[in-house]
Amino acid sequence: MVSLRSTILRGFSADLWRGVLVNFRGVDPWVEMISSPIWVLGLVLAIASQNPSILRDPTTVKDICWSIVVFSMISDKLWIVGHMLDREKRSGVLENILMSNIPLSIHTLSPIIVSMLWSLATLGIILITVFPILGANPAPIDPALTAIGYILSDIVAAGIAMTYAPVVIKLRRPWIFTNFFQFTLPLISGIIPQSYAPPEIRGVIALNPLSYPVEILRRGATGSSYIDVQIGEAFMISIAGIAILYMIGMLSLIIVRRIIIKRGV
Amino acid sequence: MLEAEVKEFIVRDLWSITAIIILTYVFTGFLYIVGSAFAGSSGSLSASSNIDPFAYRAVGSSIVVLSMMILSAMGQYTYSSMLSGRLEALLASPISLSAVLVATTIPMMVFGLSIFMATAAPAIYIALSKYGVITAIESIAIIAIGMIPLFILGFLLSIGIAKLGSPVILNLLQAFIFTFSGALYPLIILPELLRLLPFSLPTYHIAEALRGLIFSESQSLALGGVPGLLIITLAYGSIGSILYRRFSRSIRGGVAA
Amino acid sequence: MLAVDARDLIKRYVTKRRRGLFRGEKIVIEALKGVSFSFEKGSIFGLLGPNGAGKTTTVKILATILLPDSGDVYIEGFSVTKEAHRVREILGVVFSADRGFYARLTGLENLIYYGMLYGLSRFDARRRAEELLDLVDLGDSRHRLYEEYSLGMRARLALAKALIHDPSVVILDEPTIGLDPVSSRRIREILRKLSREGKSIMITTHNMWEAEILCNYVAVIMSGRIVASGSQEDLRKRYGGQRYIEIEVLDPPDDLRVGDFEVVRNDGEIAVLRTRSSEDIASSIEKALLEARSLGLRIASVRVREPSLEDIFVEVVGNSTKI
Repeated sequence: MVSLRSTILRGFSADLWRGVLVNFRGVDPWVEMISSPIWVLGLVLAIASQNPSILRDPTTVKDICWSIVVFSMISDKLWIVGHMLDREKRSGVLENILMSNIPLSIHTLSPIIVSMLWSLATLGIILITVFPILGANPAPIDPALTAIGYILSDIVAAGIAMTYAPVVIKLRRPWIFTNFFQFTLPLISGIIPQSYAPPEIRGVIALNPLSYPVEILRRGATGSSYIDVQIGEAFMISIAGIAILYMIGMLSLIIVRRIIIKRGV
Repeated sequence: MLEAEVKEFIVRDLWSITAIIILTYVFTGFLYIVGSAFAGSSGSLSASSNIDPFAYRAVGSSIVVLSMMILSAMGQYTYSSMLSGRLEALLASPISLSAVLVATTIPMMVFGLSIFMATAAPAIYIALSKYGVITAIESIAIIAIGMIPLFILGFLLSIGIAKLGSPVILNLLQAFIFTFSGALYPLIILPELLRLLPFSLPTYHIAEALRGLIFSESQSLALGGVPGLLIITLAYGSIGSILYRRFSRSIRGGVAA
Repeated sequence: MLAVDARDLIKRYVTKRRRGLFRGEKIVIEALKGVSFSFEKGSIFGLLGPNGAGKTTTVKILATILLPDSGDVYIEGFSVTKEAHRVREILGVVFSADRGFYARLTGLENLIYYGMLYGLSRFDARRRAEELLDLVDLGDSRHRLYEEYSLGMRARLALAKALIHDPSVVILDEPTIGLDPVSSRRIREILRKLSREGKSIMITTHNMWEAEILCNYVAVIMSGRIVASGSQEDLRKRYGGQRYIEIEVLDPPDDLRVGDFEVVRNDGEIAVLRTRSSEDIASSIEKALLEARSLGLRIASVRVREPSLEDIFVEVVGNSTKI
C-alpha cells in the first residue's frame, strides 16, 4: 500500500512535469505567447484613445502598461487554472484523475505553477516589446519590491482562479462567465487608481485581496500609489488573502469532488 | 444547407448570442472606465470634436467583436469540419463547395448584422436621432459590405488552419486584428512605424466609413471611408477567389485526417 | 475469494428537461434498480446489456467515481463506498478507447504520468510503461503524440494505462467498440493472458460473440436490473432450451414460409430458416426436410447448433421487456 504522502508528492511532481510539457511543447504555445504582447499593445492604445495626449507622458504610459500586465496575468489564471477541470472533464481525463488517490486540490496546484511560468514568460516578452514601442521604460523603480508584488499578485490571482474552477465545471457555458470576470475582476483589483474609480467599486477595491499585492507591484514598478495603504500592511493583507483564498479553494475542490462522485462526471 | 446553418448559428444558442452582446458592452465599459481613470472623464478623443467616447468605443468594440466572431467561425469551419468528418460528407454530396460557403455565409451575415445592431446601439441611436432612418440604414449597409472582406479573410484563415492542422494562428490573427483594427482608437496614436498596418485590414475601413457617417457634423454622407472600404472589398475578393480555386482543387485531392 | 461482489446497487439521476426558455421539468432516471452480481478471482466476467441498460453506471460505481444511492460493492473485500482509496490501488479501469489522455503528451509520457499518479516513482513508472507498451504492441509508437494515435492504438494505450499500477482487478467498459478486427483480437488476446496470470477481469459489452469467446461468467442487465447471471453453461440450460435447426435455402421466394420455421434471413439468393428442435432431433430434421421438399425448395445445407449467447440474450431480454 502506497502512503498518502508519497502519493501526493509523486502526484504533484507528475502534474508539474506534465503541465510544463503540455503547455510549452511544440510551436503552438510559443505562437500564443507571441500574441500576448500584441493584445497588450492593443488594450493600452484603446485605453489611451480616451485622451491620446497621455501617450506623450512615459510615466502614465508605464502605469497603463503595468495595469494591462496585471489584466493579462488575471486572464491567464482564469483561463488556464479556472478552466483546467472543465477541460479535463471534456477530454475524459478527469475520470482518470478521480480514479487515482491524488486529491483534486493537489492536482490543481501544479497548473497554478505552470500558469505562473506562462505569465512570467509573457511578461518578459511584453517588457522588451510593448514598453519600448510605447516609449516607456520597462525597468522597475524597485526591482525587489516589483518581484515580491508580482509573485504575490500571481499567487492571489491563481487562488481566485482555483476557487472559480469548481464553479466552471458545473456551468454549461463557462466561457461567458470567464469573459465577464476577466474584464470586471481587474477593474476591482487595483489596475486603476482607487480615487478615480467609479464610486460603486471603490469599496470593492479595498475589500479585494488582489488589490494589495497589485499595489505592491505598482509601487515597485512605477512608484505610483493607487490605494492608500502602507507597504507593510499591504504585504500582511496579501499573505492573509492567500491563506484564506487557498483554504476556500481547497475546501471547494473537496466539496466539488464529493458532488461529482455523487452525481457523476 | 441554409436551414441547417441557420439552426446551427442562430436558433439553437440564443443564450450565447445574448452573452456576446452583453460582453461587448462589458468590454466597452472596461475601456471607458480605465480610459477615464487615466485620461479623465473630460478627455476627448479628438481635440476638435465632441465625439462621445462611449459611443465612439461602442462602434469600435462592435466592429472588433464582430470581426473576431467572423474570423473565429470561418477560421474554425474547415478545421472542425475536417475533424468531425463533415467536410468529407459535404464533398461527397452533389452540392458544390461554393454553395456551401454561400449557405454558411448568409446566416452568419444576418447573425453578424443583428449582433452589430445590438452592440453598437448607442451609435445607431445617435445616427437615428441626428440624421434619421436613412443614415441608420446606410450605417447598416456599410457593415454589410464590410463583412464581405471579413468573411474572405476568415476563409483565407481557414485554409491556413487546414494546411497547418492547428488553429493556433487564429489567436495570433485575432490579436493582430484587435490591435491594428483601427477601430478602437484613432490611427494617429499608433507609433508611426505601425500606421500602415491598419490600412490592410477591412476593420479600419469599416470603422472610418461608419464614424465618418455617424459622427460627422453635416448630414451628407461622409464618403471618407466608403471608397477605401469598396477598394479593400475588391482586393480581398480577388485574392479570395484565386485562393478558393486553388484550395477547392487541393481539398478534393485529399482531405487531411 | 470473490474478485467483485456487488450488492443491491441503486442509482438515480436527476436531470432537467427544458420547457421553453426559462422553465425546466425535473426528471428522475433510475439507472440501477437493485443490481447484484459477483465473480471469482482470476475469472473473466461479462456484463451484457443493450445501450442504456446501466452498464456504464455500474462500472463507474465499481471504479469509485460514482457513489450508489444505496448498496455497495466489495472489490477483493474492500468496499467502494468506505474504502475507496484501497480499491483504487487494486483496480484498473478502461472507460473509453479514445479519451482520457493528454493530446500533447506521447504515449509513453501519458503512461509515466498516470503511473506516478498511482504512487510509482518516475523510474518505476517509466520501466512499467515501457513493458506495457511492448505488451500492447505500441513499443514503436511510444514517442508519438497521443493526438497522432489511431483509435486502435488509443484503445491499447487505455488498456496499458489501466495496468500501469499492476492492479489485480481490471474493468473494461466496451473495450473493442469501434475497433478493427485486428485490434479487437489483440485486446482479447491480452485479456486472456492477463486472466491466465491471475488477474480478475470484467468487461461490459453488447457484442455477444465477444462475450461468448472470452467470458467464464456473464450477467445480463436490462433497464437497471440483472435479469440473468451465471456461467454460460448455466444460462444455456436455463434459457437456451433445445438446440436450433437451421436450413439454408437457395433462390428462395419472397414469401418463403415453412411450417413453424422462423425466417432469419432472406436476401433473394439465400434464405436461412430456423426452429427449435424437439427432443428427437432426427425426427425434427426429417420433418423439416420433407416440408421443404414439398414446397419445392432447393436446400443448400442443414445445421444443428447449440443456442449461442446472443440467442440467450435475445430470449432473456425479450422476456424482460414483456414483463
